Amino acid sequence: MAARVTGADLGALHRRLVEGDPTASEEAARLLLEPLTSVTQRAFPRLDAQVIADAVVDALLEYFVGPERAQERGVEHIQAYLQRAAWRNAANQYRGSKRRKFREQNWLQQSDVPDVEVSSPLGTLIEEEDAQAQSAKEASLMSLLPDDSDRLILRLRLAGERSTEAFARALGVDNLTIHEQRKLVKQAKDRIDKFLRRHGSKTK
Amino acid sequence: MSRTNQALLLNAAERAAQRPEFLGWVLVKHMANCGIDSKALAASLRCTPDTMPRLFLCRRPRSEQFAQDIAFISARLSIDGGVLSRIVRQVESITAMTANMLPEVGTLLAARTRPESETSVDDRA
Repeated sequence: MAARVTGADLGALHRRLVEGDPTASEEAARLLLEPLTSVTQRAFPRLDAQVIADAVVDALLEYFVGPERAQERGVEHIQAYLQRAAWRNAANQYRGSKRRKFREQNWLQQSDVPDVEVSSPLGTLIEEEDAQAQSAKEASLMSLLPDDSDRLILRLRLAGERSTEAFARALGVDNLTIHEQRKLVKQAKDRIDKFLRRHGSKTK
Repeated sequence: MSRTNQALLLNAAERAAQRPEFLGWVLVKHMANCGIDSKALAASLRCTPDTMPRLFLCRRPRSEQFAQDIAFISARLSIDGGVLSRIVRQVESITAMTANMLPEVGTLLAARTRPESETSVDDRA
């Protein structure tokens, strides 16, 4: 049975997260993982336990990276905010798995080979399709950008980099204050997005 | 901590390792660079393997408060701060060096013959 999380515990941890305490995230994870998982599992009883666990973790990790977003409706609503985020992730996962199932079903119906023989090539086919689509997208985006540092920023974004610090280093502005770094990084990202939109593509 | 929570924590640590904002990302890079597993890493940090998921879930030390953050993490989780500091610095250097090499690829991509339709006004003059 999950231990009950009090508003005071959560409020204190939230303040530490906002202040940038690097250990607050692991304490909050230990405190919140079990209760959030059990509530989400009850809301989506047919979803796989692993999908639920990932949905909850992703909601928590997003919160740890940007705790300010959770306090818009007051610190006392943080648990409800996290619960909604976990439910949204679980619902997205569910929709995504339905789309994939539909795609697989289509492929199987078009194939004359028995299911057992087909399952392995099908998995490979899906993986290859995903990988090809990703590298084609990366290559076309890179070739669109005329500026070296913009290409570097884009490459970092496509690799999943999220920290301002890494982007600031790439731009060569890591010696500035964090506020100025954020501003310049945002400007660079906006410039790239605008450029790519104008040329008929986008980073996400 | 219950067994369920321990399993959830392990899963969370694995997912945190995929995000550069967390120490897990740095530690996984270090393990890959050095070809070691988490047990060996725990030994070098002078902690038990049980501490590793908690460490993975900590945020990366901020560059402007690096020493303070390292000291805080190492005190809270009872690990060797000196070793952690060296690991983070090493991974950051390697990541920065790799990133610095990337623009050369872009330069090669840019050195292509422009199609007729893209010829600038200056070229036509």
